[in-house]
Amino acid sequence: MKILWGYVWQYRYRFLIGVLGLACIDMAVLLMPHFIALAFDALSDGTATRELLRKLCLTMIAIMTAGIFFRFLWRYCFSGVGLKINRDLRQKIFDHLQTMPPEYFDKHRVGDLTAHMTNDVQAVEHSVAFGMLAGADSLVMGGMIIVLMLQENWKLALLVLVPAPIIMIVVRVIGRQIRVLFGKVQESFSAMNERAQEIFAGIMVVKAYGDEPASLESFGKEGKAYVDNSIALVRKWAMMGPLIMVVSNLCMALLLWFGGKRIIMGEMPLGTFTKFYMYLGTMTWPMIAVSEVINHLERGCASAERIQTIIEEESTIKDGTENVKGETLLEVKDLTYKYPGAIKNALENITCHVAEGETLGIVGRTGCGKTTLVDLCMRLYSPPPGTVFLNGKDVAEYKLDELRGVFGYVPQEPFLFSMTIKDNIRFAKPEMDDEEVVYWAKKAFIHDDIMRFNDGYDTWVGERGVTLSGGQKQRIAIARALSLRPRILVLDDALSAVDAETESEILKELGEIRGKSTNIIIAHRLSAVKNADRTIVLDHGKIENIGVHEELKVSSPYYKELFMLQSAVIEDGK
Amino acid sequence: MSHSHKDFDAEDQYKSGFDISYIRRFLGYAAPQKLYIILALVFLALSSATQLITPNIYRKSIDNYLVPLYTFVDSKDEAFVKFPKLAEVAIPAGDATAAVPTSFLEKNKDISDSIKNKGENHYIFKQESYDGTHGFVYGGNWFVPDKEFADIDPALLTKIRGTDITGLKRMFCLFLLVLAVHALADYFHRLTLEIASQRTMYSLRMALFKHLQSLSVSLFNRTPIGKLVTRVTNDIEAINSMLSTVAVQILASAGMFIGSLIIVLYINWKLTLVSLAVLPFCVVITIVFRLIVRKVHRELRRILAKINGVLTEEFSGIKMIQSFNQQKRRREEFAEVNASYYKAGFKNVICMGVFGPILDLIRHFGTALIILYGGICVLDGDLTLGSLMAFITYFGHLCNPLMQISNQITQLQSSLAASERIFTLLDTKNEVAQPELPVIVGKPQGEVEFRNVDFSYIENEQVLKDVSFKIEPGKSIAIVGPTGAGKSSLINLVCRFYDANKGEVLLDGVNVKDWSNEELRKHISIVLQGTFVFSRSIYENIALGDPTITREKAIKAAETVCANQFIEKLPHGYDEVMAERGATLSAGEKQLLCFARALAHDPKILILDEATSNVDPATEHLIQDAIDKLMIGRTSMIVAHRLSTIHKVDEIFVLDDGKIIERGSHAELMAKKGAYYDLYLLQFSRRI
Repeated sequence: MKILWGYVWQYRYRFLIGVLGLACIDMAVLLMPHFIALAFDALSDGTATRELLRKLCLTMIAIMTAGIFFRFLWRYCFSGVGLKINRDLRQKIFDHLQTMPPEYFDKHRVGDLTAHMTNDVQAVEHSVAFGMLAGADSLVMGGMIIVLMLQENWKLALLVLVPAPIIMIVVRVIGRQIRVLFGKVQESFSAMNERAQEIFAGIMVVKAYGDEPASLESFGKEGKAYVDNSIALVRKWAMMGPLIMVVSNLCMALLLWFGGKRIIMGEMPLGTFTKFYMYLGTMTWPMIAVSEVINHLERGCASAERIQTIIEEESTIKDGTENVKGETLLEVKDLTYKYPGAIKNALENITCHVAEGETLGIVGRTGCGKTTLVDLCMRLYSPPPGTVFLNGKDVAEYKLDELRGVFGYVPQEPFLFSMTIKDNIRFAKPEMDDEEVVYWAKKAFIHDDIMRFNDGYDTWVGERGVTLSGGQKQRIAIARALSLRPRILVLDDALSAVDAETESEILKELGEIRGKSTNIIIAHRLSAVKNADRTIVLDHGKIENIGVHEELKVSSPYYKELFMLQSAVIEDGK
Repeated sequence: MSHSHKDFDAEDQYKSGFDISYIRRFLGYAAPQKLYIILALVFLALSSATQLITPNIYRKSIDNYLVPLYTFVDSKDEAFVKFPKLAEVAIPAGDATAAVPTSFLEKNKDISDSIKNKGENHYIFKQESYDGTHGFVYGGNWFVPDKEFADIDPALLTKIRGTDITGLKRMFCLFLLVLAVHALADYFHRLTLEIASQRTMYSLRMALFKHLQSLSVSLFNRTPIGKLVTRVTNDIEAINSMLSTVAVQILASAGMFIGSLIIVLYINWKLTLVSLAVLPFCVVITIVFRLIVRKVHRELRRILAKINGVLTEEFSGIKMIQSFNQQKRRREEFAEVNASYYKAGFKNVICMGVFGPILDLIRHFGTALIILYGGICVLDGDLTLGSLMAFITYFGHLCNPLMQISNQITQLQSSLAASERIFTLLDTKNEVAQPELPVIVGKPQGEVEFRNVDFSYIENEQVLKDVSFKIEPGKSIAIVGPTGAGKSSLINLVCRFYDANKGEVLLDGVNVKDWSNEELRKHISIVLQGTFVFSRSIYENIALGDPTITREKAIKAAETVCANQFIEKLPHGYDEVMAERGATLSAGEKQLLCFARALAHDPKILILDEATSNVDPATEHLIQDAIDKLMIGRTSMIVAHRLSTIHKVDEIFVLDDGKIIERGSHAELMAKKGAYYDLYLLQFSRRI
């Protein structure tokens, strides 16, 4: 609640104006029963004249017309505050998450984070816009009505209002149960969604293996669960309306009995009765609202807390202060790294280095820690202090953008953004002109492919545009990295989906344009690391061997095996 | 309903020539739920009726028991002649004066003509009760004027007004009873309706899913998967409101409106007309507002979807963004989208802020009119006070349904749009339709033949050009060539994921179009580059689609391809249930699992489409033996770009630009020094 209030506090003046507008309009609304009662009294005791009726009628219209302005003001202020908070929060979360390391996103599913940013932010907005609005409304309105009723006839007021608290209890208790059930319905809905997603995405396999009946059945199971949960929800939810109706009408019934008896006994004029009747009609909403408001505020608080937890979680990667200076020298000294929450070390006692103009090769089985090693160098993950050094200083000392600016990274599974191919290539350097984009695309041997698309470089990537093959994606990612002219180029198995012909062309081109730059090449194919100044062979996170091609061919069992495999066919052919 | 709005997004759109038959078809799916729907309607009628009764109970109570019961009227003599009943119930108080029960006056409005003017209200009791101070006695009755009434001794009052109290008590009980009936009817109405619509949705959803599953692969490649998923989930949800709005709620609102209208007309038709004068304004404003709001909402939805898209991309690509130091730019871009949402949100606020108050004002205007004109009617004796009070309540019952109906029409429109999307999809014909009378082949030998096959995915972009070849049963071939040469298309045609534009694809001499798809695919096992692991157990993943594959057979298959090593390390071994898309397995492990799957199905024809590209060379070496074993006795087609994986095949096809430009064994092709030779040298000479 404190957090929520903190959000509102920023916009307190707007909020205050809203409350004032609200008070005005509530008063106006409450004057209506008063005038109606006046009319009824006058009519029943015979003092009414046409003139009086006309006056009453005009006064009512005048008041309501004036009220329209306050009503608008009030909604505008409250909803506006909600929207502003929504905007601020969303941006705040976004800004924060952007600084979080990839490790954080391994831990949290992207879908969940997105859901937080939409659902939780929206819940906060609603709790402010609706919750606080309706809360203020029902408090002011309900309070006024109760005061008026007490003033009019306190005994009758107390009698008639007996069932009112029941509404709140009903709405609270059932509301809570409904929320639990609703959560289940949503869960089963998304389970159904996921099932369909999975089956449709794998439709080729489903069809090839004739799995249609089983797939249908598994989808049907989720569908059935959804139906069951929905009906369970309705069993409770359908009670809400009738119960509220019963309770609010119970007040009316009590009024009929106790109020009626008073009239019969001549203790009370009909006008009071009418007023009570009108007030009770107006009371129903605040009674429902109070409990709704509590629900909304609760939800908003829970969401605000979740948001706060997200925002307050500090990045494990702190920014440093140093700028990168001097000749490139990347050193890894006795690095042992374990992913947070993992049992086994991903890397153990790694020591290696790559100096200006050198090429470091890394080979090893899938999952042996190759990608981890380069991620740590770029501080995408945080290496333990005193293990990774750039130009003699611990990487942690550098400003993050300086450090990362050193590297041009082509990841194993290239990630392209849903923008044009051109924008993807110049992603890291948006100021690049078309000519330069084409230049680098040619260097990465993707230019011809791009020209084959109808829109060329302006072809949109992703769902709205073309689907690129793995090899095409990899080459675009290479063009993107190359265009930065990075001091250290990191190719993380970046040619695996490119066919052999193109691979060799690209490697040749790399040799030429990169000249004496520094490269780190992770590869499965030895051709890519054959000419490296140094190649490390990783096995289960440890260095099995380190050396140049000719040495490793002899000394490293794994490298040897790879070499035999990849050269075997040549001998066959010769 | 209007058919003229054309400013819809594709998603919300239903064409102007909307086919009413969709509703009929939808109702077809709802038909099995007849019982529940009828029950829902009955409960609905009951709850509406009871809701209509309650104000009337109030009215009766006021008129009959609460207010002074008799009015003195000056009446012409002929009134007594014309209305003998008047004389009967009246107590003559003078020559032409009568105390007439107010309820009698109310029921016989035409009497008012004969009545000159109305006097003061009186209570009339038996003379025996006379307390000697208040009112007067006349003709055996005690008349108490309204004003003096409160001064009478309460004990005496309780006695003399006993009947009114009993009457009031009766009304009170009746009120409670009606309330209980209403609540129950309302509850069961909602419940039965939900059961009916949930079950209808379920059957429609299953029908759609089944249909989609039967459609050709090309649909799935053409359409974003998310869209298809939306059809079977959200769209069905939207169409559901067809049942709850069309069948029920609109009926309910209409019933409520008409019921209230009849009652108010019965109470006083002139007052009804006066109060109804404001309704057209309500309707017009509501309609205008809906149109505006819908536009605003659509914009909000669109922007929200965009925000979600940006977010998803941001988080999935965080490594790229951070490694390229693009946070600031992305932040600014996000701030822009975020601000546009804020702006659209404000439009919405203003709409709501203007519309709500105006509508309220109109209603209050109506109430004021009722007070004014109704008050005059009361003055004129045309209306009782209780009726006036009931009238105000019924006026609310008149306004609410009108607004609800306009709400429901919007909902109906979106469910009609959804129904169009759904039924269009249901009507989509399978592009690779099953033959009506499939040829029964028995156990095939596994001979694959292409005869002059042309093929394209998109018109005018020919992928295969006049391809002909034949693979003898049990032989293996490899297909090599540059990306985009049409390698995978050959496979798509054999599995009949697509149909050839020209020419024939034959299995055992029978055109694949004459096979039933199930039968055809039963004999083919395929392993794709993009591995696909379902969120089921390992065993179920291996036995996919074929319940006859025993656990033993699955384990044996896994062992053959060395998948058993990682499977046995899983906490539940073969019963380990996979995460979505097998997220917990590495790419290589997933690939091995797919190999085990292919092997377990013991196919006549084995197809590997770049199947080893995700496996690192050392593992590849392991499974290469398995593949070799797997190929024995089966017709095999292997698409590969790593030539090292294919040297053992019987024949190699070199595909380029949709044509087979070379074919032969490895040795033959090498000797020929053609395209294959070039490709081969390129790949290996530089490699080591």
